[in-house]
Amino acid sequence: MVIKKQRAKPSKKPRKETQSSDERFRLVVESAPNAMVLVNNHGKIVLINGQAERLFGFSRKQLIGKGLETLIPERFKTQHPQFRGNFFSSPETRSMGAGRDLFALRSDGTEVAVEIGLNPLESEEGPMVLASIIDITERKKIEERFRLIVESAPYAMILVNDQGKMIFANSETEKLFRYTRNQLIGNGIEMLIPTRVRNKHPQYREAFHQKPKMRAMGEGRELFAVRRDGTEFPVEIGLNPITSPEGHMVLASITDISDRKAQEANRLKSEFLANMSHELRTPLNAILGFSELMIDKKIGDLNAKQLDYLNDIHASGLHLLNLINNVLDLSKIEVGKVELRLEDFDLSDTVDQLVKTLVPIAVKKGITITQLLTPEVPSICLDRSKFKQVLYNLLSNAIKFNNPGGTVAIESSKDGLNSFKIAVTDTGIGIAEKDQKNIFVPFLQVDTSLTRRHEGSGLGLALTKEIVELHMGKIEVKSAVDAGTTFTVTLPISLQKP
Amino acid sequence: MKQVVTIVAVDDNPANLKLVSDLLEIEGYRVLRCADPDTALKTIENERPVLVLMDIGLPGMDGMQLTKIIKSRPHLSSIIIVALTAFAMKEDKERVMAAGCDGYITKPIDTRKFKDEVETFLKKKA
Repeated sequence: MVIKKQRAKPSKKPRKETQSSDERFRLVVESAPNAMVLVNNHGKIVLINGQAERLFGFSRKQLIGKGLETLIPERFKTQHPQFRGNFFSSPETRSMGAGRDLFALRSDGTEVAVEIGLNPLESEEGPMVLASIIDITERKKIEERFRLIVESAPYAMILVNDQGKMIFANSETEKLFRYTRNQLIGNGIEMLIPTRVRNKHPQYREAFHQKPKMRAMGEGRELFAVRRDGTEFPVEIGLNPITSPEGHMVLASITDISDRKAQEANRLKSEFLANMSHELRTPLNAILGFSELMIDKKIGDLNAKQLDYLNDIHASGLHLLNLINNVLDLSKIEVGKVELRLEDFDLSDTVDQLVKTLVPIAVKKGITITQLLTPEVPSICLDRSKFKQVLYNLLSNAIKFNNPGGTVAIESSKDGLNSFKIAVTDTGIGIAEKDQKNIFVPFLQVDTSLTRRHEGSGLGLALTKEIVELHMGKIEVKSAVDAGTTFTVTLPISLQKP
Repeated sequence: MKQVVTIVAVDDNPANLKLVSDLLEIEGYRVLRCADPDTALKTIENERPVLVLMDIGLPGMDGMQLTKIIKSRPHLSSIIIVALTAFAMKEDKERVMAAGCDGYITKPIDTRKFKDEVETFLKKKA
């Protein structure tokens, strides 16, 4: 076999020299780092090297003279002669199968992912092709890993070329913007930008390409993106310039920061409330303190009228303090700043404690408080101080809005596997049906003349309802004018996870 | 003869300063009134009171700074410092204690309980 470079004239060299150039060729092929297979224009294997033996698991003897199709998986076999024909009609050094995934067949029937380079050669026996074959299994594994990383990234990743067209988008992009990849690829990135800021964007892109630098986008500005349905959402965008064989591109990573913004708004609100409450309590110190000193006659005696007025000042001050505390509590719950401190406690002990504190004001009005607590619910696991707050509110209302000589009844009952009810019933002025939905609304008071006399803060029930609902419970009212009122609170027996 | 106990009261709000000072004077204490941290520090250095009632206002204000200074001076560190704070939140109370206060009383104060609370703090020291 005589191998020569393409288009060289047949040599008139002496036999010895042609033999040594043959040898040289064989040596080169044998020492190549890749598997090499020399094929003639009939598709028969003429020469292979040691790497090819190892890659395919065949010995030289087994392959030489055999058709190349021996090394090709079944599904590609039929097309291959055509590819060979195409190659020999316009032979040129190139890689095979651009854009296709190529596979080769081993002697044991397994497949291996490969990359193939083709080199046409002229020989005395006619045109041939020297194929160099690289096992790309490892490379594919690494590529797959990268693909997984990009696809499982928790933020949208979009590759944008220097014309502003999207050439790649990961699955998070699809989720975030609610488009499919196909709807995005090839289109301008501006389609994901709200119309009111869209026209400025090409300028920004141009500026970035002038000075490409890995950085966050829009320093100091609030950025928004727009979904397929036209809704907007706030975003944070990181920009990464990439230079690749495809040209200058930008990798944009986009995070939806709607949650973070909501949290920030909440935080500012609760900070404001804390400061406001502090400011409001400070002057109350003087109002309550000085009136107390005078009422207690610590700085001299008082006549009856002076004492009376001072008591009014003091009572109003207390009322105001109560209001401030309730407003703060209510907003803390709304802002979600309240955490329940769960503990096991005895229900009847707690009720007893509360009743004890209220007995003085009950006695003043001649009101009797009775208890009927079911033994089926001896202890509960809730936020104890909040539970007491709820019960205190209901009990003090029951006394406040009661008729002199009336009664307040506290009853508890089991309600299903993990739930109980506690009801507070009074024999008081009642609540008209039309007003019943309003009693839980902050500051909205029923029949203001009556309630002003009773000095409600207008917040007690609103706060009570919030606390009950925070515990996953509910509160109901049953009442009619002058027929008394029953408030029933339903709560879980235990909020603790087993 | 009963020894007079000296207390220094610090508050930049005149009405509040008057309230705590008058209240304690009625109970027989000698109360020195200071309306700002500089006056307070000077008075504390000169008079070496047993207890200081410190108004703690908004964060970044001088009450806590002054507390830290007092506690850092060896000849003053044994003075009991009780913070008067209108803040009701747990984190604020923790901050007050972290600054070195020996205790706190929340504002608005209950004048009927106040003298007992002060007495408790004084007893702790003895």
